[in-house]
Amino acid sequence: MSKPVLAACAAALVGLSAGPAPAQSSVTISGYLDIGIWRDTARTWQVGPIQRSFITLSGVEALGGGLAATFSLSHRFDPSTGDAEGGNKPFFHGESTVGMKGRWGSVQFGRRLDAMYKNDWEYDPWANFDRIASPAWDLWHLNFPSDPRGNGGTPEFGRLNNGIFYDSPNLPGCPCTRAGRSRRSRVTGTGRGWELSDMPGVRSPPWRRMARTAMATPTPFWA
Amino acid sequence: MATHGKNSNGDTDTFLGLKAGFSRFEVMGVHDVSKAGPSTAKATTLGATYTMNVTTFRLGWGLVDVDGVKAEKLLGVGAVYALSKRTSLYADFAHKIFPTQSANTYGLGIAHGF
Repeated sequence: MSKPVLAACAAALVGLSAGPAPAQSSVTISGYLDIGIWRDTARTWQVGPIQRSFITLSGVEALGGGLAATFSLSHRFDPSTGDAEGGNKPFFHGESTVGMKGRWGSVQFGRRLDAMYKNDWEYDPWANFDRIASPAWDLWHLNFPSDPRGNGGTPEFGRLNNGIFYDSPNLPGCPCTRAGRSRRSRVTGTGRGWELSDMPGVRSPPWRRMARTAMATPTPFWA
Repeated sequence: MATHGKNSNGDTDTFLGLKAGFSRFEVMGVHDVSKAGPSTAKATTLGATYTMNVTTFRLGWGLVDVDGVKAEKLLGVGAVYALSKRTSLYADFAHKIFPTQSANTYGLGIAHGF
């Protein structure tokens, strides 16, 4: 092939690659595995999860101008048997959302922890994540399933189906670092929650960061 | 954190949580009132953590009153030892008091995040 032809081909390739820059995107696999041996209040020894176990597939795609598309799919399971967690719970019990985020915060659509359950764990030494010793696990929200029919017609304590969820960005100069609102609109009724959460300046030890990672919602979107 | 929620059945929950950190200590407290029809549950919990190198000690106490009956009191203690940023070993113990009985529960576990 002659040099001019080579030069023409090279120019054509340069021209082809000079279009809009491809969007940056990433997909992350994360998860948490927990298993233990314990004696329950019925004085029976058990082997299985003391906390919770899950695997999460999440992603983000930059759309330009600070805007990004996001998704998250989180499956909860029992590591002692490999079975999905609970018979009535959906396969992506932990979370199933798609949405957008930007400087204005984020919006997700689907199934996710509501505003209250998403943030309350900060106020329990076990991060509301331990069936043996956590006061939160046993005592909070006793009369409040977030979605009374959210798990195949049975109550769900924590998440909303068919939800629209908004999380604000951190608010400078405000003692609150997050504000959230969730709403469920269906024939079956509406549910909503809001909160101003978190006190500033609280140090996060490694185990708490781990617990944060372990919460059913992944951190990159709103933590 | 102050939160109020209402679900599709009309049940409500009002949650107030406070937390403060002092060096290696964290202390926290919560008052939670949930209502479903005529039933009201009032939960109060207190907690503390102390971190020493890679070990964190945890202490928690709580009480829930359901329609005037102390449905459960709980005292929990535990420790978590971080083998790495991803893997930890932990031990927990709790004494739980119910209206007609009390029980101890305890265990050991391992957790790995990735």
